Amino acid sequence: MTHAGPMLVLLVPLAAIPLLWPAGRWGRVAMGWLVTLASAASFAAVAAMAPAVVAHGRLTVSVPGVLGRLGFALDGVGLVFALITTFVWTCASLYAIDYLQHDGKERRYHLTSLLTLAAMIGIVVASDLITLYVFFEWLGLAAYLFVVHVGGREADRAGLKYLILTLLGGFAVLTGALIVQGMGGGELGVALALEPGSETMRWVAAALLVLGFGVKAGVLGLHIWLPDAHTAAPAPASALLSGLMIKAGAYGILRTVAGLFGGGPDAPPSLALQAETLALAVLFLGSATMFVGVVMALWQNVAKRLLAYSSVSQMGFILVGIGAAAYLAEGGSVGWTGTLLHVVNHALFKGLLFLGLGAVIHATGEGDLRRLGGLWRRMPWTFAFVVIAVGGISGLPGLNGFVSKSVLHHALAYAEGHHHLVALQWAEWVFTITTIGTAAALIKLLAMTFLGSARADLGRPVHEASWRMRLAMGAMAAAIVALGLRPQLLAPVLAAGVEVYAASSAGVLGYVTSPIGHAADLRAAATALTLGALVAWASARWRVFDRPPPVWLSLDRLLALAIAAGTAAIRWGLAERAAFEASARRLFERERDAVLAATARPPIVGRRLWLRLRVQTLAAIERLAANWELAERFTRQLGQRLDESRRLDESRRLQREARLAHPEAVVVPGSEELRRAARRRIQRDTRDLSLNVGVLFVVWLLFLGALWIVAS
Amino acid sequence: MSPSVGVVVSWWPGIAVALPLVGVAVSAATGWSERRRASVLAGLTFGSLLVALGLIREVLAGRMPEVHLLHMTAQLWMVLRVDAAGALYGATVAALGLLALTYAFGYVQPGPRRARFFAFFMACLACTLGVAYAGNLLTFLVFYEAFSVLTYALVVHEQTPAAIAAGTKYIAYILVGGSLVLAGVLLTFFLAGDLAFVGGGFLPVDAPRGQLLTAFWCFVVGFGVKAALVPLHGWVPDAHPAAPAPFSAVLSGVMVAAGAFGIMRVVFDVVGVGLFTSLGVAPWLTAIAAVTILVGALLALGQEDLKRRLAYSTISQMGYLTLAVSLAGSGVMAGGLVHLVHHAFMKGTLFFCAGLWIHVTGARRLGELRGVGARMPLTTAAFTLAALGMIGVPPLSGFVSKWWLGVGMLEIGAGAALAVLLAGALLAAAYLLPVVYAAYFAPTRPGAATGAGAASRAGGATPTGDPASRGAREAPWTMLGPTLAAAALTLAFGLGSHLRGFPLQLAERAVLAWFGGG
Repeated sequence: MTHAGPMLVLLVPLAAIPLLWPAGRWGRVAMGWLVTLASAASFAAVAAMAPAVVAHGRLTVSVPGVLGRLGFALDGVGLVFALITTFVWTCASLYAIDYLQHDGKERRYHLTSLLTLAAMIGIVVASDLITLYVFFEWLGLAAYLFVVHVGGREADRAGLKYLILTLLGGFAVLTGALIVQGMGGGELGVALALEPGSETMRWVAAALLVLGFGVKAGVLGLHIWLPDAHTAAPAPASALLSGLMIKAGAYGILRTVAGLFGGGPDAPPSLALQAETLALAVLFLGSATMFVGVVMALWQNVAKRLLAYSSVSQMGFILVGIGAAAYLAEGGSVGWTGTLLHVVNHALFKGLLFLGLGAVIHATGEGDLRRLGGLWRRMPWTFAFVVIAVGGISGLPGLNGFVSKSVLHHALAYAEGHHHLVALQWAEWVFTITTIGTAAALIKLLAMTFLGSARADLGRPVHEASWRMRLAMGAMAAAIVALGLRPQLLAPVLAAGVEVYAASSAGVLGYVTSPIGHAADLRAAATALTLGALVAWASARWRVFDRPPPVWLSLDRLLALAIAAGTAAIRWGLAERAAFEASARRLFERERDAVLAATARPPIVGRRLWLRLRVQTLAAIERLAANWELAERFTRQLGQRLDESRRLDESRRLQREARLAHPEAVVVPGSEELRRAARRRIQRDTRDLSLNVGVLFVVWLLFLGALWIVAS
Repeated sequence: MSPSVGVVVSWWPGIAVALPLVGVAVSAATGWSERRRASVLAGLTFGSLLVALGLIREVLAGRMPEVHLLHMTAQLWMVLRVDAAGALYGATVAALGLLALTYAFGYVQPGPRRARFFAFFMACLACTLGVAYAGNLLTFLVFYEAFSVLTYALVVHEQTPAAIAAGTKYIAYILVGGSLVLAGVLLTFFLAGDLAFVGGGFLPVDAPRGQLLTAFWCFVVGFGVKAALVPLHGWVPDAHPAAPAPFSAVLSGVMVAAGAFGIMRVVFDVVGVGLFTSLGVAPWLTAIAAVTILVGALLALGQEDLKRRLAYSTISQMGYLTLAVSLAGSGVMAGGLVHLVHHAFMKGTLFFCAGLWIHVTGARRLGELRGVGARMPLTTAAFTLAALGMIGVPPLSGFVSKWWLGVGMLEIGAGAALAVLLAGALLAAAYLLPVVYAAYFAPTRPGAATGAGAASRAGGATPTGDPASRGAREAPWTMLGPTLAAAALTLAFGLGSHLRGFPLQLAERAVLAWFGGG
C-alpha cells in the first residue's frame, strides 16, 4: 500500500535540527528536551503507522528525482526495529540532558543524535539496497562524532579505528550493492533472480554485503573497533551505539540473507542451496561471535568495556537467530520471532545497562570496576534498575531476556532437527555455554559495582542520579518487566514481522504467550543462572580473570601478527630468492652481452656519444638491480623494527597494568620520555609499513597489468 | 550520430566565447573604479554562463548550434559546434569561472598585478569555452594552445621564486605536450583529410596501423600532459600551490579536465570506438589510468602542504576520466563525463576553502590547520562536504559519479577497474579526512605559530595565539559566497542527479552519439 508515512517519519528528526539553535538560546536543558521530544515524536509517528503495517503488510513510497529514486517501505521487520529505536532514543535523549551538564559540547552531541536518529530510521525504512546504503554510510560517518565526543587521546584512537573499519565496511557494502544492481536486483523485498553463470558473483556480492554490514554488527573479527568506540563515547551515546546502531548491521545482514539472497518457496534447487549455505554461514559466524564475545566480556575490568564485549556476544545471539530462521526458510517463524524479540530486548537491557553504569561513572568519575563497590546504599534507584537489566540479559524468568532466549533456543533446536547437522548440535552447546557466561559476566559487573564495600577512595561524595536520568532509566526498566511478564503485547507487531519472510505467523502468539509455561525452558534458565553465578563467584575467588587475557586472544595483536607474518614471509621469500637472484644476475649479464653485441654503432652517431649512451643504458639496468637489493634491505629493517615496536608495546601494556594494579606506586622517572620515544617509533613504523604496502600494491598492480597484456 | 540531432546555425556559441574576451578589454581599461570593473566582469561572465545554460537547452531539444569562425582554405576552417559533451563541459567552465571570478575579487590583492590577473583570467576562460565548443580538431588545437600558454601568467602571478620556477616547469611541460598534439593533428589531416568531429570517428579504418598508432599516442601523450597522467604529471603539484587560490580551483577543476576532454574527443570523435578497440591500445590506456589513479592518491598521502595534497588528488581523480575513456563502455563513459562536472565543483570547493584558510589564518600546512573548524565553521563545513563528496559518500555528487562509473564497469565486466576505482576512493578518504580531522578535532597547541606571520595578509587585527581561541571569524562574503555555492552544488548535483538538464542526462545524450544508440 502506498503511504507517505515511512518518508515523513524520517523528516521528524531532520526538522528538529534547525530548531537546535533557537533552543540553544533557552539553555542546554531546552536543547535536550527538544531532542527528546523529536525522538518521542518519531516514536509516536512510527507507532501510528503500526496498525496500517499490521493490516496491509507493507507501506511503500518512493521519492523520484532524488539520487535517481529513493524508495521507502515499512514492513513488519522494519516496524520492529523502528519502534525500539525511537523508544530507546527518547529515553537516552532524556538521560543525556543531565549527563552532559558539564560537557560544554551539548549542541554537537544533540546534532549528532538527531542526525544518527534520522539515519537509523532511514535504514529501517529503506526499500532498496541503494537507499539502505545511503543511510548506512550516513549513520557510520555521523556516529564518528559520538565516538570522539569526549576528546582526548583514547577517544581519538578509538575514533580512528572506528572510522577506518566503517569506511572499509561501507565500501564492501557499496561494492556488493553495485554487483547486486548489476544483476538486476536491489529491491530488498524481492529475492535476486538467478541468472545462469552468475553463482560466483552472487557469492561475492553476498559475502561483501555480510562482511560490510558485519563491521557495524560487530561480527567476530570485525568487532575490534567496537569495545574501544563504545567505551570512548559518553554513556547515553554508548547506549545508542551499543543498543541500537549495531542493530543496523544486523538489519542489513537480515535483509541480505533472508531478502536478497533468500530462497523463497519456488526457488530452483541451486538457489535454495545457496540460500541455505549462506544462512548456515551466518549462523556459525553468530555462534563464534557470541562465544568469543562473552569470554572477552568476562575478562574485562572496565565497566563499559565489559558491556561492549557483552554487546558483541549478544549480536551473536541475533545472528544465530537470523541464520536459523533463514535456514528454515518458510518454516522459520520461530526463528524470526526469537530474532525480532531479541532485537527489542537487547536494545532495552543493554541501553539500560549503559545508562545505569553511566550514572555510576557520572557520580563517581570512575569506570574501573576494581575501584568501585558498595554503591547500592548511595544509589539505590540506579542499583534497582541495573538489577532489572542484569536479570533481563541473564535470562531471569519473568524478565524479557528469558522469553527471547528461550525462543531462540527452540529455533536452534528446530534447525538442528531440519537436516540433523551435527555442527548445529555444537552450536546449541555454544549457545548454552554463552548463556552461562553472560550471566557470569553481568553478575560480576553488578557485584563489583554495587555490592561489597568501596575498594578505593573516590575523593568525592557519591550522589544518586538526577530525576530525569532516573525517569529515563525507569521507563526502560518498566519496558523490560512488561515485556517479561506480558510478551504478547508485542505479538501483533511480531506477527507482521514474521510474515515478511516466513510462510505463516500462526505460532507466534504461542511462542510468546506463556513464557513461564515450559518447564524445560525454566530448567535451562535456572541452570544457566546458577552456573553463571557459580562461575562469577569462582573466578572472583581464585582471581581467574585478574590476569589480562592471553596475548594470543587479542585480535588487534593477531592483526599485527598477521602483518608481521606477511612482512616475514616477504623477507623469507626474498632470502629464498637468492638463487633466483643469481639467475637473474646471470640473465642480466647475458642481456648486457646481447645488448653490447647487437648494437653496433650506426654510422651517423659519433663514437663518443655512442659510448656514453651505451654506458648510460647499462647503468640504468644496473641501477634497477641495485634498487631491488635496496628494497630487500629496507624490508628486512622494517621487519626488525616491527618486532622491536611490538616488544615495546608489550612492555608498555605491562607497565599500564602494573600502574592500574598499584596506583599508589610512584611513576618511574623518565618513563614519559620512553613512552614518547616508543610512540614516535610506532608512528614511524606505521608510516613505513603503509608506504611499503603501497609500493608493493603498485608493483603488484603493474605485474598484473603486464600479465594481462601478455595474455591477451 | 543519432539522426534526431540537427545542425542549426546560431551565433550563441560565439557569443559565449566572446563575452569573456570583452572582459579582457574591460580589465585593461584604466580609469575605472574597482567596483565598477568588478561588476562589469561578473556581469559578462554571468552572461556567458546564461548562454552556456541556454546552449544546454538547445542540445536537449535535439539541436546542434554551429557557427563558422574562420575559413582558411577549403579544408581548414574554424568552427564552433555544440554537442552534448561540449555543452556540459562549457557550462561547467562558465559556472566555475563565475564562482572563481567572484572569489578572486576578494582574494587578489589590489595593486598593479590585479588588472593583469583579471585580464588573463578572462582570456583563459574564453579559450577554455572555445575548447568546449570546438567543432573540429583545428579549432580545438587553437583554443587549447592559447589557454595553455595564457595560463602561464596566472601560475606565476605572485612572482615569488617558487611561482616563477613552477611557471617555468609548467610551460616546458605544456609546450612539449602541445607540440605533440600538433603532430597528432597533422597526422590526422594527412590520414583523413578532414578534421571535423564526428561521433563514431572519421579516421579511415584501412589506414596503415603504424600511422594510426603514432597519431593516437601523439594525442594521448600530448593531452596526457595536461590531463596529468602519471608520469606526465610533474607540473601539477608545483603549479597549483603557486597559483592564487581562485585560479588553482579553475586550473584543477576545468583546465586539467581539458586534457582529459581532449583524450575523450580524440577517442570518440576522431578515432571512433570501433577503431579504438581494434587498435588494441585500450588495455595500455587502462593501465596508465589505473597507475595514475593509484600513484596520484598514494603521493597525496604524504603531502603536508594542503594545496599540494589537493593537486595530487586532482591527478588521481582525473585518472578516472581516462580510465572511463579507455574502457570504452557506454555506461562507464557516462559516469566519466558526469565525474568531470562533479569533480570540478568539489575540487573547486576544496581549493576555495584552502585559499580562505591561507587568506584568513595563513595556514598552508596540515599542522597549522588545528582548530580552524571552530574559528571558521562555514568554511570548514564546506570543505568537509566536498571532501566527503570526493570520497563518494552518498548523497553527494561524488557518490553519483562513482556509482555510475562502477555500474558501467560491471556492465562490461571490468572487475579490476572497479577495484581501482574503490581503492582510489578509499585513498581519497585517507588523504582528505586527516584535513577534516585536523580542522575539527585535533587538539590545539597553545602558542602555536599558526599564521602569526602570514596573517598580515588578512589586513585586519593581528591575531595572537592559536586559531581556536581567537573566536569565529569568517572571510568576507565575496569569497565565502562562491565557496558555499560550490559546496551547495556538490549537494544539489548529488540529490538531483537524475533531474532534467542535470549532468547525467546530458552525459547520456553524449554517449548516445558516440556509441551509436547502443
